[in-house]
Amino acid sequence: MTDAPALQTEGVAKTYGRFSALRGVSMTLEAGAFLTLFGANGAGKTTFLKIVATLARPTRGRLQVHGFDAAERPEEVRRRIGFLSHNTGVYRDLTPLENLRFYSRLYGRDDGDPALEALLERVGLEDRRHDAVRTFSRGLLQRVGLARVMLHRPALLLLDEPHTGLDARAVAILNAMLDEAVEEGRTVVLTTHDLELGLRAATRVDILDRGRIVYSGSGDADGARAAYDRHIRREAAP
Amino acid sequence: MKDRTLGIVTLAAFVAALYFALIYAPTETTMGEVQRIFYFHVPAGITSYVAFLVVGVGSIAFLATRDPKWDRLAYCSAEVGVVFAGANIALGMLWAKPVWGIWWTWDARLTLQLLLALIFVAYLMVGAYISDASRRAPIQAVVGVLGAVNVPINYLAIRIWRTQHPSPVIAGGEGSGLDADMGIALAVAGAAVGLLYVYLLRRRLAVERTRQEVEYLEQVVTAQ
Amino acid sequence: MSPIAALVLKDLAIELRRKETVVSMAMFGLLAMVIFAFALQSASLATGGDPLNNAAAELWVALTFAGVLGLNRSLAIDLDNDALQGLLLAPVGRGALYVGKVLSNFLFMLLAAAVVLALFVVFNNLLLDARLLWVAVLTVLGTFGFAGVGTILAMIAANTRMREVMLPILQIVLTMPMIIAAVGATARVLDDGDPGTLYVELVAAFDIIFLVVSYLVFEYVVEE
Repeated sequence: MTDAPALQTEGVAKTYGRFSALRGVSMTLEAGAFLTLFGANGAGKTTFLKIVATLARPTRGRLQVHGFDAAERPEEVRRRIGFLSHNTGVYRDLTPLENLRFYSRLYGRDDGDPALEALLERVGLEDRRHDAVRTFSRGLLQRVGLARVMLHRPALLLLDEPHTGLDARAVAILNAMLDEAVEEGRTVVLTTHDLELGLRAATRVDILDRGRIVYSGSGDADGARAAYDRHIRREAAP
Repeated sequence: MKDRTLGIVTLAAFVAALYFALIYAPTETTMGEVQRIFYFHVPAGITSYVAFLVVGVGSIAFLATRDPKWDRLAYCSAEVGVVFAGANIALGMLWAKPVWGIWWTWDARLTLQLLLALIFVAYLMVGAYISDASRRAPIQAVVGVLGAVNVPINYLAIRIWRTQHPSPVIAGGEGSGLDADMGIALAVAGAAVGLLYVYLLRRRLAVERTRQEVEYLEQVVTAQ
Repeated sequence: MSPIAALVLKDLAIELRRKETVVSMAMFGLLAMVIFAFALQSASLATGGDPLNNAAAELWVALTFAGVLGLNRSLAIDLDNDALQGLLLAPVGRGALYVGKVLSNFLFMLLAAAVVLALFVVFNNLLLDARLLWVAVLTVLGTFGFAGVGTILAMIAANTRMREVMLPILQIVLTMPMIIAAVGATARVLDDGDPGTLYVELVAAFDIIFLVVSYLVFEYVVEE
């Protein structure tokens, strides 16, 4: 990994017609950081992550991932990020193993089956690697999605409410993989509605409100809790 | 120029055009009085081509710059263009029935005009049926580009296919030519129809800007 | 392995499992051809025309309707569970995603077209001669044009509220010049063995132009 920050944004804004979803977000995230992004519904968390993931194009502003500009070198950016949301991006007509095989080829890796099976083992799917994903529950589906995201060993992990709708086993696996990613020096950006899940491993906490960052602090739990109460509780997040 | 002034000028131009087309111009020898439809039929057709060209240019400019004003220009021009193409086709039918004895024939120029109108009606439908406001503009612009690219190919295909329509009387090659007074009448009517396009486009753009403003204010209010 | 090959293999693997797209396309194409043949045969029996005159039209109506159906089905593979987002996250240019899908669609359509074409030969008692070779070449060229423009149109239609309606509308309107040329060429081949260079060139030009333009604008259809 290069010396450049894992993520650097300058005045990233997104407007839909005249409605502003993001009103200029500037941040620098050093490699190895764990950023939790809190915000009420509609604060712009998902829009921000989608822009970093190059799924959406910012109306204004620039962003770089490990020194690669998202507008100029989008493929280099995509090579370095893993994005997981409620949407798992897996094919339900394929088995978990076939899904991984396909994505491995798409990422130009051509991993052999042993490596892919090892990855499935890490998300606890070794017994179901030959079953069509169509038959999977939400928790199992999300685990296949998690394996897909970790497949190309991304330097920057973007997780948009990844815990939503997961059973306890899936939450445990997700958290374990996040801890492992941090140990390996990867950078994590996580959004969540759950204060405790968000603070669990964070080294930095930012709060988005109506498209702006209104709080940016260290992972210090008390400060973050107070800021969370100040900015979000009043909006009665679910 | 203010829209109100432009409206008055357009109205005056239409009064003049009616005079020149119905009274000033001589009666055509073989087709008779009905040929006077020509003075509005031809400008309406040409104006619809201009309007569709504006759709193509606006769509490309929008994709290149992402400036919403190009998007507005493109689809407002498409709406007006479809109206002019429809007027062109309807006037043509009124003319064809007494002269050719038929409302419609699958002749090259008629078919092309029909296909152009259909392309841009489809373009307008795409815009109307996209719920996600953020996706509408670029997707509709892509259809605008594909539609505009289709125009010359359609022209070629139909050209190879068949031709029955009278060849253009102006610069249409051997034997074409327009009486000088008829030329004046066509120029005046052409100017009036052109002004009407500009006027309608500007009014439509003003309505659209207001609509977007209201939509924005609604979002601001509901976000509070 | 190249990303494009990976995309095509993925679509093939899913199609082999579900066997939905090609089978439904072939069946639908066959039925379109049969109903069209019934309608035209009744008409020509009543009026005494040569049924073979309409054979070219039957073939292309069948291919058009089968193609539209297949495009919708084929894109559904990627829209199910929003797997498309996974593709968009991969370090692959949007153009490559487009080309991969064009090749899959082309392959599916060719398989269905082979069935339709075989029955076309039987129903019309065609001899297996050079004329048939031309019909096959035209079918391949036409099918490629359908897949090229249809792939981006299917993605556009998927963004509208009326996907099942908008795809046929866009596809039929925008492939019209190619259908005119392809039917013209096929009819001429069946008549005297010569498809007419202009027609074949036009179909090929359509294929290339729309492949290039769609490749260039595809990103605007998939990005927010």
